[in-house]
Amino acid sequence: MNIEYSRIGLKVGLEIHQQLDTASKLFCSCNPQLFKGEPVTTFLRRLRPTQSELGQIDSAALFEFQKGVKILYEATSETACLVEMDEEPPHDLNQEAVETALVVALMIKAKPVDEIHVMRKTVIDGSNTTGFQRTCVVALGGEININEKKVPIQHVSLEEDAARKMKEEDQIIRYRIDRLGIPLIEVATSPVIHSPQEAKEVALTIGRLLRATRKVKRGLGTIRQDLNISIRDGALIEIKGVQKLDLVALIVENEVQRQLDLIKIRDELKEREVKARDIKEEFVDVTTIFKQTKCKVIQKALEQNKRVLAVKLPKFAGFLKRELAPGMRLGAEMAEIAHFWGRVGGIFHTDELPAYGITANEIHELAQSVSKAPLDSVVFVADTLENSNNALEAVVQRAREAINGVPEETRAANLDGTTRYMRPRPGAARMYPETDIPPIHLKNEYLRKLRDHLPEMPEQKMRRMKKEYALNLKLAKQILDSEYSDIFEIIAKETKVSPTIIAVTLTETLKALRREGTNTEKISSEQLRELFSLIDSVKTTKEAIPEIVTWLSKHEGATATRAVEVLELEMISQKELERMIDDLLEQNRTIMKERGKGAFGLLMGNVMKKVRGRAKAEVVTRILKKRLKEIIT
Amino acid sequence: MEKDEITVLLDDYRKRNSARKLCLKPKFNEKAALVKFHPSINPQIIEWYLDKGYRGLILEGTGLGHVGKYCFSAIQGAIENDMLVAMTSQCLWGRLGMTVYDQGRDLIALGVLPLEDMLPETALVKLMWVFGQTTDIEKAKKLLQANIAHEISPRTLYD
Ligand SMILES: [Zn+2]
Repeated sequence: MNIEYSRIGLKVGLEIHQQLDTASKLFCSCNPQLFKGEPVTTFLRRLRPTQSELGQIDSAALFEFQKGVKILYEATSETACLVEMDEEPPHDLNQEAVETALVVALMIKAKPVDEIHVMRKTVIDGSNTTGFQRTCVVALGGEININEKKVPIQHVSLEEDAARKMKEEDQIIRYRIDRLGIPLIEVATSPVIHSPQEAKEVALTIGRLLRATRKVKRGLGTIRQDLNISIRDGALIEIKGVQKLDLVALIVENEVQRQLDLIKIRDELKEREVKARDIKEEFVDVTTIFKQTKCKVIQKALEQNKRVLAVKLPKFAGFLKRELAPGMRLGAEMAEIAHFWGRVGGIFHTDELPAYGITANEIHELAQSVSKAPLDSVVFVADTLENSNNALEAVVQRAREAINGVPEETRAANLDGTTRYMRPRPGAARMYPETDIPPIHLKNEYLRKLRDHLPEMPEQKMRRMKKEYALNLKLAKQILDSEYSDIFEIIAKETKVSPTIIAVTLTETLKALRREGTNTEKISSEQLRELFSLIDSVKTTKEAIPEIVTWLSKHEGATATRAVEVLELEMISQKELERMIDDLLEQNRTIMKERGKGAFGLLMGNVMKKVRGRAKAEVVTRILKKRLKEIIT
Repeated sequence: MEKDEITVLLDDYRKRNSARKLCLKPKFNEKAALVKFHPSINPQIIEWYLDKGYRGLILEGTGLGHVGKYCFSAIQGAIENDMLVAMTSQCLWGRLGMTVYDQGRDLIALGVLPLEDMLPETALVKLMWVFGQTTDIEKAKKLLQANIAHEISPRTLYD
């Protein structure tokens, strides 16, 4: 798709959230780590939104509450205390986190605030036990440079991460509170990004800056990017939770496409002269039509005494199945909204029927019962009367919005670069002061000290790495953008292994192994350091790296020495090597006689195959040449 | 202890460092007192301790670490006369939270030291020991707030 982004008025703003690698959480002394396995304790809560404390409830949350949703929190004693459970007031704001945020702020020339005021941002989906997320602005303004262009930064903030959702079943949502309270730094740009490529570069640059502090966590799930995307005639859409940098450009492209296609649908609806008032909340109970249905979903619903309700969307035929952006359709969006408001598993619509075991006959009867004209669409759901009603109300609402084009909403990013409906955009006034934590005054003296000791800027570091370690530009860039730039320097300093070999291992070799399915995230810095010290002291060779790394990824906590033992990758002693070469020469006497010195290549290949990387090629060459010479002369 | 097996109840139990040399610091100073706040308490008690040359006072406050406003001037007077005043809570399984309400914030502004979840009696004995080690009030404050032998736990767990 060739879209001239400048002509459609694309505006993108980025909000990057990155978990900090602090010793403890933002408002308590718990270990900021996630736990695996089963929780030690669970507790059940219901959120009761109130209008008190200046907070404003958003309609979606109020709705959830009225439906009696309960939240089951999972915890272990290592990763949560009474603070996460909201049974004890928050402790002091984590100084290590404040300092890291200030360092980032000063690196991008933002202006630290005089006083840090912790605020509460209303969040009533249960992801925070308190019903709000604590957040505080640490600095305002600043800028980053992307290809000669200045991208203004709006603010640098600190936030507590939310609990992670584990499961959603009927009336109970399960959250794990280990992640709750992990410090997040947020860097938000102004909406001045005008192309998907530029969005990616901005994200990349901010990521590099954050890593330069050496205080950020690494690995999937530790960075989340929110995108604000709008085009002329479209709407401001907030896309939350992009976990991979590679997806930023694709998500922007897809969102632009989605909005353009929704605008096209708007125009076509206008041509068909559809008016909002034509789309009526008239829901017809069509349960009897499906009494004998072969459709499994409906069968199951009817067994539970649920009802099938249908609504007519006048002149909507064809629009529901039309692909907006790859993998996204208006029908699917309606299903997501119906799920949100009505908790229904899905919706059926006549654009995609007959299918799912629903017959032409059933469709015919359905059409009759709602007096469907050829250009009309019919949407129906099978659930409890209340859920079905809520779901169809949401569908009607969404259909009416289609007449106006793109509705403002908050969407969630999927791993394939598509997005899904998440919730309506919350109102602006969601913040009020956190009264349990007094404002923190930032002293000039302290800021001056930080300013005098800022970490190396990424561009600077790249230049230095190229020079100091004689890396080529591509490799220097790769190592800088990887999560291994610090460990690279440590290893390069503490061993005599060629920096290029270390860099290639930490970038290309690991990447290749990842592609083959090795979970390289399991490899710790200590294991990598040990591995290179083994290579340095000639206990194993660089050729053995892939095998050792793969083994280590499957044996968490094991040492590289152990890997070398188990895999039998220890270097062969000089004596043993000589004996092996002698044996080989003995076996190849005839070839040697025929070819003389010319047999070297073949013999060399044979030895190397036999030693499987457990001997250095130079050493083998030396011994082999010497022996050959002795034999021939 | 059960059948020769020792069950360690603390999850952050510190093992004895056998390389460390024993150094006995047995000095105590008895000029430290514990005052439990209750309605109708007479703040003159604080003044009495000051008059008698007491160097430090542990307050056992209510809930998050509060005492009635009518005690403030006595506390202020004590602090102005170089008495070390520190707060503990009557809720033995709880922890101070002296920035939640104005009462707590005011006490901190007066110079009252919050001792997190240290038990009142522990704090008293510790304060006696602290003044056995140093006569410098600033050093004493640091030592009192330092977590020396688990008298403070940074985290309160649910069980
Ligand atoms: Zn905690």
